[in-house]
Amino acid sequence: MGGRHGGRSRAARREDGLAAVRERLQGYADRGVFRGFSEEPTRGGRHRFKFLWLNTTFVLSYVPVTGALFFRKLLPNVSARSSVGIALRSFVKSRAGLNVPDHRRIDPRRAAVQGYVRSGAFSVVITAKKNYHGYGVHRAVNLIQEIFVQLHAYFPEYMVENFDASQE
Amino acid sequence: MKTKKQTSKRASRDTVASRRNFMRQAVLGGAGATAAALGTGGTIRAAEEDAKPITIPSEFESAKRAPLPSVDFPMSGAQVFARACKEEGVKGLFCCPGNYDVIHAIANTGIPTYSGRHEGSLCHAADAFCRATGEIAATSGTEGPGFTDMICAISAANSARSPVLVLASNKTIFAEDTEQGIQDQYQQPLTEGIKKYGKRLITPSRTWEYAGYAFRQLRSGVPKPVHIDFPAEIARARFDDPTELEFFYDNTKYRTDAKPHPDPKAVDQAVQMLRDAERPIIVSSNGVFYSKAWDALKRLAERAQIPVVESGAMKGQFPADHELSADAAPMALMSADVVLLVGQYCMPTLGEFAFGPDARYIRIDPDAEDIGRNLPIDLGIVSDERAALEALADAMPRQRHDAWVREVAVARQVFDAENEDYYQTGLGYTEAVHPAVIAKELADFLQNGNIPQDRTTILQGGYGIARYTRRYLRSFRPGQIVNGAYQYGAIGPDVGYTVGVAAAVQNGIGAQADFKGHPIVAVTGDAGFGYTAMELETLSKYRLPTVLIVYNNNAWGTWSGQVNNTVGLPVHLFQENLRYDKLGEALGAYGEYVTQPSEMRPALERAYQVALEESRPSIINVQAKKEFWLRDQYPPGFLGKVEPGVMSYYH
Repeated sequence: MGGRHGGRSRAARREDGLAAVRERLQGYADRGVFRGFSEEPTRGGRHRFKFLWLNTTFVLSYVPVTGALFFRKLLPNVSARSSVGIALRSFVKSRAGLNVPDHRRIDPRRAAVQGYVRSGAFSVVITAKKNYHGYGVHRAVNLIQEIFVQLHAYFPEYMVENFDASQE
Repeated sequence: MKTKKQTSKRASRDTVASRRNFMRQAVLGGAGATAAALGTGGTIRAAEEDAKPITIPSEFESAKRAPLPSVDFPMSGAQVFARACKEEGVKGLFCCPGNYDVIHAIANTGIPTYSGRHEGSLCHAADAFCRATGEIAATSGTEGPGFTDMICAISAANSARSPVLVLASNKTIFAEDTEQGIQDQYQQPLTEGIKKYGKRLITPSRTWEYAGYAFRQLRSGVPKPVHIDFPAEIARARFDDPTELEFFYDNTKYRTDAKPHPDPKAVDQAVQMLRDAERPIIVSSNGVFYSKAWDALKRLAERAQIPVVESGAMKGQFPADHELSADAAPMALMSADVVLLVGQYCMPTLGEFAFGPDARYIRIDPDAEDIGRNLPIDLGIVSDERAALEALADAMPRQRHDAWVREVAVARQVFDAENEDYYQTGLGYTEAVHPAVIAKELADFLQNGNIPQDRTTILQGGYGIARYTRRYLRSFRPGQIVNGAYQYGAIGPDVGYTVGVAAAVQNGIGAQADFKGHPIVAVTGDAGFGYTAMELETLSKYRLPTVLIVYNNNAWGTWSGQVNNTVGLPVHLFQENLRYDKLGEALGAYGEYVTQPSEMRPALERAYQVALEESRPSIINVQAKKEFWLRDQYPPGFLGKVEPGVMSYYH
């Protein structure tokens, strides 16, 4: 251990990761992007952040051991074989592609991204690599908004049925 | 134009030698034939064999030729108010009979006056007139029912921030609360929350003074409707000389045209934010239109190479064919890092505009009270939009954002390619006409063919059909597109709006000055058409050259959300294959019924020719099917939207 992490202990590095995640999220709250923001520790050193944004309450779970940022059950009522489920998985996967502008791309060297359907809901996980926790949060929050834009553009009825979007 | 070709094509299809077919061919045969078909005195021969011709009463022509009466003392209260309207530059009046003293007095000043079939429709017309011209329009109805018919339209105008002067008669102050006679009602409480200012006039000598109150509101800050109601004691009061009126002096004494200018420190901060940005963008909305700030907008955008995207109740402040236009580049919006919102009166909440969570916002607005509402700002600038844009254009150093402009260009190409895919898919559905076909053929005809692309003013209405037409139609000059259902989302005003837009263009008012007399085009759906369809008669009566396209899918746009609701589904359905074209013909319009994709373009050309040659409306009833909204059966199905840009109408 040590080396590229500057000799810091594993526990310290976890604290650093958590601090970076917290700072990034708090920054969005301070700027008014999130209308409400709270944090609570959960089991196994994990942390749960809640925030009100896009007229929805989001729950972001952070696992310091792995650097994973989960938006579990981000989108309800999505089955794996539905057109919206297929489109969402494809879209999330595409965000690491080289045809995405650098400022919007999820750089595979710094974070891995995956969208998946489980228990009838669509979830997203971004796993920050090395010490790129702040980057992971940044890309995760941007990705969520990109997903919502895609849904408004191509699956308006899903937004009407599940997120109270106006039908008019 | 392919008139001859289209004529022969049509003639071969109409094999029955009826008078109707003869007339249709005559109409298509050029100006001479058209004149013969019309006859003299504005006669349109009716479609049916035995019907008497539809005629415009000779009184219309007499009214045009009659000299205007002088508006001077002694005057009635109605005449006093009408004189204020004339001096304040009210450019049109849209009304139904009722409030007689006031509307007659206004018409007698020479303000173009249009009467129609429903007060609500005519109030919508006034709203659209404002949105197309940037000028003030008045609307009027009688007390009680006439006034309450206007409520939806007043609310829509309020949401669109239109400077509509709402006038209504009221009974007498003397008989207040008695229910003597009929139509007794307090009006002002009913417009609470949907107006900028309202007043029931009760003191005759203050009539001119309250006109000043009305126009101070209409001509300053963020425009919204102003509602004045006239008890009979006011409208019929008599004034023998100016001493009988309070504050009777010209408008330079009771209001100012001065506008708030930006704080220089705020301009410096904005310049710094824009200089530091890698991917800045300008959102141009209503305020740029009403302050006529499009030249300053262009100067700022070009000086600092900043892309511009539009939103709002009207489009065209920045030309869509400019390399910096991001209006049809929806997937680039997420990349913007600094967003300059100018004149965005109707503010979205975060997420309703597709800018990312890291974007920082500068907002320019004349009302400090509104800055910071809904969307957190990094910098607020209280200013008239033109003054602020001129200050920024003067202060901004030249900058290049080539990579960002390339990204916008790529996003435009992606969007265009997607639309082309939709069109090709739509062409494959031959059992009815797909909305992508309607939208693409319309855009090609109006903006990619022989007609100059900036010529035709468009009322872009409808619900599901608008999700398609917005993607294909572009605006190249201020006021070219009026955004029908903007914000309030009323689904039925479109034919009323069409009257207002057509009147604006017919008279060449405000932003329409260079396009005076040209045909306009309007789009609506069958559900919306049902609300205001009788205004086709108004369009015909006033010889307003209009091509109205009705997307006829036999259903409300809401039906697809109820497709599995067997019992409730009929709530959302109409009879199928209704002939709205025949309804139009019965009201004096030219009718087309389009059932195949290949018929769309020829029908457009014929209808446009009728507008050119006969200066009257056409209705193109385009037969679609409701199942086109089902994505799994008929991709791409019902479309969503991304705002701001060509697709926007919520904000």
